[in-house]
Amino acid sequence: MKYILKSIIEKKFRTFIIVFSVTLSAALFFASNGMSNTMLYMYEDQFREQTGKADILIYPNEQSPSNSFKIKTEPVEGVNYIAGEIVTSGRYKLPERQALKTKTKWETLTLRGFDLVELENLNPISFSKFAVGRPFEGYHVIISSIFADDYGFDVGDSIDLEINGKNRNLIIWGIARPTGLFKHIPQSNSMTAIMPIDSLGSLLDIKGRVNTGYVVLDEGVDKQSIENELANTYSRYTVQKPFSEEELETYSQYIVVPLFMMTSMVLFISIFIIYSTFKVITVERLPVIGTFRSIGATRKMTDTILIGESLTYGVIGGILGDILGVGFLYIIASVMAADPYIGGKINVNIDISMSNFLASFILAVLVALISSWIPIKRASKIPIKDLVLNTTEAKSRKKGYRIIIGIIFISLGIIMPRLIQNSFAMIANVVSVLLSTIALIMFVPYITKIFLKLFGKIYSTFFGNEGILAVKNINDNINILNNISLLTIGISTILMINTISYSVGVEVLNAYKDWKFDIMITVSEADRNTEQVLRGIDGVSSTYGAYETWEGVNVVDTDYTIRYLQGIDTERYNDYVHFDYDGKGDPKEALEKLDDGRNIMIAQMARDELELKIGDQITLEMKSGDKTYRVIGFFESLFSNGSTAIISQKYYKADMKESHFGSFYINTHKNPDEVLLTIQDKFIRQGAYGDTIANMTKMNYDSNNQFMIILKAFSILAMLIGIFGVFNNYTISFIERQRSIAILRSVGLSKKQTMKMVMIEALTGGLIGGIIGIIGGLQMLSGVPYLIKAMSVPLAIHYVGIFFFNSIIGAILIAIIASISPGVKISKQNIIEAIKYE
Amino acid sequence: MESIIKVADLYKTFFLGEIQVEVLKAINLSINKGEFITIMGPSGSGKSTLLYLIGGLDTPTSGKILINGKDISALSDKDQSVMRRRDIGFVFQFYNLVPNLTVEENIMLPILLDGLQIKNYQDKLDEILDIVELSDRKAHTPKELSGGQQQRVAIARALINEPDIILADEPTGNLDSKTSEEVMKLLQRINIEKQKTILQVSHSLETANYGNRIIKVKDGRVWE
Repeated sequence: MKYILKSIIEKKFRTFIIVFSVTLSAALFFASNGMSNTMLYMYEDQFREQTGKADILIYPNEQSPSNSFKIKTEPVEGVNYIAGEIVTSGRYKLPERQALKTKTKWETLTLRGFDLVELENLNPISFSKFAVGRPFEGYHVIISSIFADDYGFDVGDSIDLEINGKNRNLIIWGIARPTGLFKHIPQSNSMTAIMPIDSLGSLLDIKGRVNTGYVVLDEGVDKQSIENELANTYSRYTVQKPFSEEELETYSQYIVVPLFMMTSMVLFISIFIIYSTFKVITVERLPVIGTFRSIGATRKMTDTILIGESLTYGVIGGILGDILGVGFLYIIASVMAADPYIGGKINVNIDISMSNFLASFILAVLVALISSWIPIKRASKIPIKDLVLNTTEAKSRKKGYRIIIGIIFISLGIIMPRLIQNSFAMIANVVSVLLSTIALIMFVPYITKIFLKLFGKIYSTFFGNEGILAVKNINDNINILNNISLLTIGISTILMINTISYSVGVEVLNAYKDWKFDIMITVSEADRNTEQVLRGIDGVSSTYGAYETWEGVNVVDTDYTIRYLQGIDTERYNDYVHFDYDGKGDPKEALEKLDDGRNIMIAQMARDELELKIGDQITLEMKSGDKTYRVIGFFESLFSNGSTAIISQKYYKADMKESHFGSFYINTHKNPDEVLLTIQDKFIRQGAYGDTIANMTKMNYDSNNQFMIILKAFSILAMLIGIFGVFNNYTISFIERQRSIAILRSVGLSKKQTMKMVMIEALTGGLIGGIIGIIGGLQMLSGVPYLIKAMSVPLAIHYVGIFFFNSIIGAILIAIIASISPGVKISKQNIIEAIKYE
Repeated sequence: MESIIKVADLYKTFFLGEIQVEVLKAINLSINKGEFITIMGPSGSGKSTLLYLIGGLDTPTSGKILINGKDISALSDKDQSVMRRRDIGFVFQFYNLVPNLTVEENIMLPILLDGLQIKNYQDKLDEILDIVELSDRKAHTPKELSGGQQQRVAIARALINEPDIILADEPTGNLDSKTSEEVMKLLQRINIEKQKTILQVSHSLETANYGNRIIKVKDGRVWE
């Protein structure tokens, strides 16, 4: 043990690199592994803020006879209680001064009616103040502390709210902290206030009825059977769990699997670095092993020393990795929690389980042991005679098998994403990326040889004879080949992540660039009159009302659902939406043909899914029954992930039994944000929900970007380990080459020439690493379109020239910077000492 | 006779930890062109150090070494390197060939380092390979050659730039007697036929007999 510790402490940089690699591998594994449960916890928390302890929710749907219902009094076995809720909106007229400041006259409130005793059981309110000793009844209201602070209200004050079109004077009974039901969500433009359910029911003329029933079950009951029973009892209403764990798990997989992929890349680099470092460690220890063996130590004993050293690295890395992993998990969870669509933050609640600690620790130990196993075993097989006489020599093994394995792996890497397109697509892609990377590493020596032949011919022109020497030095220099491999993995990973990230950004912008208007807004029960009112609002220059459904329309005899269908005004549609017609002729004329009958035009993604061609007929499940439409054309659109179609307004209204507009597209001649506020003020009673296109673009971009930031961070960590590995390899390489360089010095190589040669070697290694890295990145990216197609997310990969250029420059810079210090040292070395070393 | 190497009042001091060791003291020498000199002396006497100082692989603590009238310790690293390429050829006990280069590439190293075109030296290479009898081995790497063959490659490398001086540090120290004889005969031939000045370090009187002058080194001082 003393010998092991001494060896570890002696070589500080080497120890740092191994421990750093193991630590990062374990930490990223911990974070990736914990992310699945962390996301479940966080999203469950988010739901629980609104639904409290409820196990099941009951609420009306489109088929329900009314938007309120009575909670049945007959007890259901297993149901502890059902808390009812009434929801409506109220508005508070701002004092003049504040109205001028906020440029809006009204503050909207979501008024929720609850029985306070039931609510305290279901989803307790955190009060900062309340009217002690006075029952919560009548025209009492609980407001949030944010609202109270904004407008200077206190418990006992009266407040005028407009509820259901009438002005009501309420007394503030309590002020709640902004958690749970009162959590402030800036994007919602509405704050919560709670009234007694009976009073609010009376104001809305639905006393005794509720809009939502929150069902809390007894402990240990079968939730599903009670849900089924309640579904029978409330057959015309929706009865379901507040959230589906299955859906959350599926969603979390989209986050967790890419994280695991990046962790695998880091793991791969770490194994590679530890393996190459242990090769040096074993070579260094051969004389000591020889001495031990010659005085009677068995192979097992000498192996144990080396395994002990490896185990020590694993244990240290495992402990540090667990600690760092908690930090990583917290950071990732925090980034994911900053959901721009909510505008607030989901509470960060990370999964710190003993099993995860243990799994990450075991992984760290295994990484260290497995990576060092082959070098240790090779050293162990060297005969004592060779060890003692120092006659060991690296045998050049025929490595033809590498080519065969490499070809098999790269073939699998290419085929897998193209073949496997079901729910295993993501895992198939991860495996494909790993196989492709392993294959590339196996090809590195061969590809390097080809490049060196090429460079050998042109280098004498550019760099003189030092260039020729540098090329000869790289040939068969295992350390430089290792560096090229490390740069290959790092560069290909970063290139892949950056290209995907950029492509997502471009696609997000593309998705919105088709919209030639400033605001999209939904007003309930909107008709032609609503549109007239909208057109009269200051700042609005023109409007387009869209008849549409987001609920999806099933295509009969297929599993496919067209997620978004619009009945368009063929005359005006093209003025508001850029119609990217996939066909010959004038797009406007093509659109007009929709009016000629039950004709439909379908987005390319949906066309590919349904395998349609012009002239085909498809039958849609519409509200007035199944209707058959003739396909008359296709268009390019990423709207609703490409699952979209358009028909004529005339047939939409008839077949969907629709007389209301789903949304309005609005053009403005004033600041769209201000116009939006004016519209929302105007339609406060009906509720006008929408946003400016600029804001929607930004939110979508931010939402995608937060996950890409994490993946980028992972890829940078992978590169960081790689960079340390490159530094280490250059140091080892120059230690090993001390003598050969001294020989060159003895026959006339000057210090300047030595440095020039070293720099050319670094430039060449970096250049080759960068080029192979780009090849690797392109191979990884080639599978991505198949993966996203399987996920039904349209994403075209946009290749950016500057990324390729940066990859090569980055690789060259890393190699050059890493070789400066050892290069300077070796050019200044004592020639005689190096030469005499034998 | 023309003096090609001149050593004047040369001192060399090493530090072994904190102990100062004076390896060479007040050395004065004059070597004429075309001489074949053997430096002899017991282990640790400083003979190899003297050779390396003359070859510009090390710098003296004080004193002067003139090669063809130029003080090498006053030269810059670049000029010292140029001198090692053009004026001096080195032959080491352990051959010191670059393992990943072929025989031909090893021999051509001084040419390559001088920025010259290898293709212009093919005839010269063939001539030297003929002298060292390795014409059939030029595509081989050092590990494919015997010790004697490797030393002949080292001699060929020392000759390729036609230097005036060849410095050899125990050139037969790692060879058996038969191969040693072959190598020494080769050096003798080069001395006589090509009029090269050879300065070798050796323990053996037998090899010293191939030369025409012996310089003895003991306790850091020389005498003849």
